[in-house]
Amino acid sequence: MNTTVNATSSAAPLLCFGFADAAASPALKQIAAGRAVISGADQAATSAIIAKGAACGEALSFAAQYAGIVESIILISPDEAAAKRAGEIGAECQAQVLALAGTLDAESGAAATAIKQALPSCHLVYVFDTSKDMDIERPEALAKVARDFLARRDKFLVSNADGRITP
Amino acid sequence: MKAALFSTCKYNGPSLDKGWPVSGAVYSRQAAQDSMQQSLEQFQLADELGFDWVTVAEHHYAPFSLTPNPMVMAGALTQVIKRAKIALLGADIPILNPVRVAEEFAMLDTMTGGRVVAGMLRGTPNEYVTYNINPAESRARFEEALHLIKMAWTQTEPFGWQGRYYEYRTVSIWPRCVQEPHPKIYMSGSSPEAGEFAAKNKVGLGFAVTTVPLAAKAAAHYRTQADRFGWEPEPEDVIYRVAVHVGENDDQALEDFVEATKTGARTGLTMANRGLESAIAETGYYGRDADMQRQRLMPRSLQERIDQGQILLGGPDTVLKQIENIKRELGAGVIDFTVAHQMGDKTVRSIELLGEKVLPRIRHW
Repeated sequence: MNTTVNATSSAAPLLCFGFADAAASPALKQIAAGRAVISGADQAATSAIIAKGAACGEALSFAAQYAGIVESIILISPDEAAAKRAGEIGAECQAQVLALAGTLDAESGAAATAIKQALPSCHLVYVFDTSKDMDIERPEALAKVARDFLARRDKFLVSNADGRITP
Repeated sequence: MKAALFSTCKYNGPSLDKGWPVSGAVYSRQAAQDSMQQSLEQFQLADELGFDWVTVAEHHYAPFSLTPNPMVMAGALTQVIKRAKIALLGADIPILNPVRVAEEFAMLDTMTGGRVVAGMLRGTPNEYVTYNINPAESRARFEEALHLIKMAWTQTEPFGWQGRYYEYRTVSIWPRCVQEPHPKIYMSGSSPEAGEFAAKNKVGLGFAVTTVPLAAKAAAHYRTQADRFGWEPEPEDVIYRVAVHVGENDDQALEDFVEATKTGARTGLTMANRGLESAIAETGYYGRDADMQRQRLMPRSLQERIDQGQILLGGPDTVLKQIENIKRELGAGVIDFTVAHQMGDKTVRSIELLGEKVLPRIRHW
């Protein structure tokens, strides 16, 4: 693998695994929030990566290889192989992980749960009324949680929404 | 067949019981305390007489009910009801915080050693004004909230939820339910949409403020839909709630009831404010057979109510025949008796007659 290293700033590109045409994905564009959207493990290592389905295991391996550079990993509808890979990496995973499963997809739910159990820094979030293609089914819902996670990492647990009805 | 005693814990004191919401201008604090105590005692009596469940429900802003949060009443019941199940029929989940609902049910299930029945309702239309929730979102909120509550009960790992109406970054409730995987769930089933959702999600169906013919039609729809999803509801999957007053004989029961309605009769919560009901109907709250749904809420004469199975009134033998009809028409496995009017000693005697003369018979049906 011929990979260069990008800066780990908030403007670093979003590296995508497992999307047919990442650059054209409206959901990824929303999640990236101004970052460049790039694809494939032959791209530069960067602080933020996102993977879908069968590519989630590969993304975890990539993050393990570039530990210290990869800060945030988003796994969309991970499969059993990704759960197995997470088990192999375990506590050595230095990045914050967001595992997303659709409520209509029991397989991803089980895998995401196993990943959460294997990786201490993993957060599990269910996206209601979606299956494996949540990026197509409910892109706004996926983008809302994923963008917040990328921007704030584990601080995304704490609401920063303005609750006032009127000033 | 199982029997439940339902009480709204009605306020028996002075009030300007008109419209909805109802003014508290002449509210009596003492009468409210006495009313709640009376309900607790009647629930206790039901437990001692062998009722299978005692039932509480959520209603707001009217003397019709002093249990805006039925979980609180159920908490009190956990300390005095020793044998019967405590049924919450229910929590109006679209207007509540679903995670809080899951937590409260789990607490009650733990406190009772697994004797909680979990009714998940949309509530009467007026309830949407209570906490300022758009009634047009009622059904979608209900469906999402129910899914989230089940997940909160069953998922062991902390999880977040990105929904349409609910968003949580992490959920991990303590305590968990005693019943595995969770308490039996019921929902209100008068509309065809509700029957279809209940069938798809394998939850029980309850009927209230309806008639036997309308409920029979809805129950048949539920069973047809369940068949589509590959399962067959048990009798206990269908509850019919009905007002009741049992006397020593038919004449005495009728005399009691007529006397009580001279001072205690009022229109149901929904139709107490016709303008509000109409505005809520315009949002699409009732669903695809709105006319039918609104029709079942309309006030009826006493004779119509008896004929259509909205009230069981008479001596024990007459009431048994009426229950037999409900069982035959709906296949209901649970009958949820509602105290028709609080009449003090006469109501206590009615509950005793149910326990002594009616329950032993219907138990074998």
